[in-house]
Amino acid sequence: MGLLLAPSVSFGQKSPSVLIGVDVLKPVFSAVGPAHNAYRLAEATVKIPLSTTYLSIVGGYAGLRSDTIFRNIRLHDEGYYLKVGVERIGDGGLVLGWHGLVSSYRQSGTYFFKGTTFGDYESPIPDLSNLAIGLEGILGHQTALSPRFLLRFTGRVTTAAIFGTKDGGVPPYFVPGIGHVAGNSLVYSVGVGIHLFYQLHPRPTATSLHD
Amino acid sequence: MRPVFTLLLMAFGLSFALMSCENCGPSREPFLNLSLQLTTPAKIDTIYALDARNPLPKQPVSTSIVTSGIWLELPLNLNANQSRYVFQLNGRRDTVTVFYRRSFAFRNQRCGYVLDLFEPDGIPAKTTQGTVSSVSYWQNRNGSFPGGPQETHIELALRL
Repeated sequence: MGLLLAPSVSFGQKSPSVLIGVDVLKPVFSAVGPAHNAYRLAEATVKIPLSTTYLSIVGGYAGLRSDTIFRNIRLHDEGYYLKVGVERIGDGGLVLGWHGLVSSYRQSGTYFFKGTTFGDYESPIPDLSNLAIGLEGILGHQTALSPRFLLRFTGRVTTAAIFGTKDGGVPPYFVPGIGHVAGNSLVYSVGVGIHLFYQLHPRPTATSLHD
Repeated sequence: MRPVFTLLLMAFGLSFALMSCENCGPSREPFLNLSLQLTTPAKIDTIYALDARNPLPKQPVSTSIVTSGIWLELPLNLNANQSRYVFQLNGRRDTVTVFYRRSFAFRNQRCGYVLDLFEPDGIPAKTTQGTVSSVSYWQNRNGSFPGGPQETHIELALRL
């Protein structure tokens, strides 16, 4: 009985615990990311156990100030995103799942031409307020660090439709919640994440309650 | 199987060749090709640009007296719809102004914004001493276009 009541670190248990986590890769990437791009990334998540799966809710903020891209453009993208989906955690720690994604973000920036005689020419590109709605599939693996903490490595594939103004002509470059994207009205991307989870006290199993 | 492979190879080669011929235009100040047609032999004493933050690039002009003509390659001001230059020939000072309409348009991810210069609605150029013989505006043109690639520039001929 003692074993049944103790916090369990096994996966796929009959009475799984709520997991609260943060992406630990994003702050590291924000601090020591590539010199040409300045990122500000933060993400938190909660996993709520259902009957055989977890309800996964992810929220985050992402911002990027790019250095020169597309030959003469500097972009600033920032916004917030929410992902809601379902995950299945196997006995061996294998994680499979999907998320629906909504991302609201703003893109601004400048284009410039070097002016050695008359001075640099710099002009703002039209601001864009965009909404991305998409879907992502995730595949990961999580490992117990202690009875309370789990570490999860995740890979994801995301696709999303972009809604909003396109007057500037500059295609989507960075979408919060998705990252660097390819495509135009329909974008797609791949990404990785490392999440540290805190496992709330597992509920006692039905067997242990009756004991 | 072999013809299909050959066709694929040719299509790849053609698309690569066309892609490599794309001319994105200047990423810095384009040039005014200024031609000074002389009626009397002259020598350039001074030349500089008004509104400039830095001196003009060194010009490949003769320091001795020239009899027929002088050709200069001068940067154009992207921060205004005109560029002004002052030069002194045989002690005579002249101010030349060339006008243009700037166009910055996003083309694609490889080129970003592309600059083109067009003829303005008003007069294209003026000079305080001589007369304007001709002005022509040349826009970006890709290498795949008949005639080869072309950079944005303006050609101005003055008779002094």
